[in-house]
Amino acid sequence: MAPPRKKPLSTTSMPAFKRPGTALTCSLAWLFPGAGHMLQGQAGKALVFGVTLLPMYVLGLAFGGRLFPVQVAEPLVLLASVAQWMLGATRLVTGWAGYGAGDVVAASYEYGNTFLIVAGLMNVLVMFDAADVARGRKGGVRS
Amino acid sequence: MTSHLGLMVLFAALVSPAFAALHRDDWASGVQFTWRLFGSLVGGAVLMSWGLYLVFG
Repeated sequence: MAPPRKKPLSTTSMPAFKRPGTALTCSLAWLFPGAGHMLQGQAGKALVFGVTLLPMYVLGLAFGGRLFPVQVAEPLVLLASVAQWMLGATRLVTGWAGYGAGDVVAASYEYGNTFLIVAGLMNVLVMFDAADVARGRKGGVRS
Repeated sequence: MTSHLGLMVLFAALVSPAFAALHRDDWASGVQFTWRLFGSLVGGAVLMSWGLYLVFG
């Protein structure tokens, strides 16, 4: 007797040769969490990433976290800044809008920083996953 | 929110579904993975905090 079929989180019915390229997929994934997966036809995963990573970033700002500048002289600041820039459009818009000055005296300041940095780092994993889907290594229905 | 436990639970609640979506491809195992990871994160942190309290007072 065949094992019961599992309901996939996302499937892509696009044949490999029709899928958008890896570079475009990763670029979109960098700009908006989940956009790369949406481009590859994986709406379920795209929704999960969008619903978790964007609120994590926004909450990081709400908790008084700081958007770190790109400061080469300070390695840890540079690393934090690079991590935060891994959510491209969000970082750009929030920085331009004047958010992220950081409230150092707030009890949740370090938590805010953690939320901001982890959101960016997790989006790096999402970008790698989107690249794998674009290359046909992952993603439900294979062709 | 200033409660450390609350912030930690919130962090775990946001991180767990994202990791589940990365590592699982079907809903059932994804939900199971989410709960297991969430429980591990929160439970592990509570255990560690008790351990640190007992060791360092």
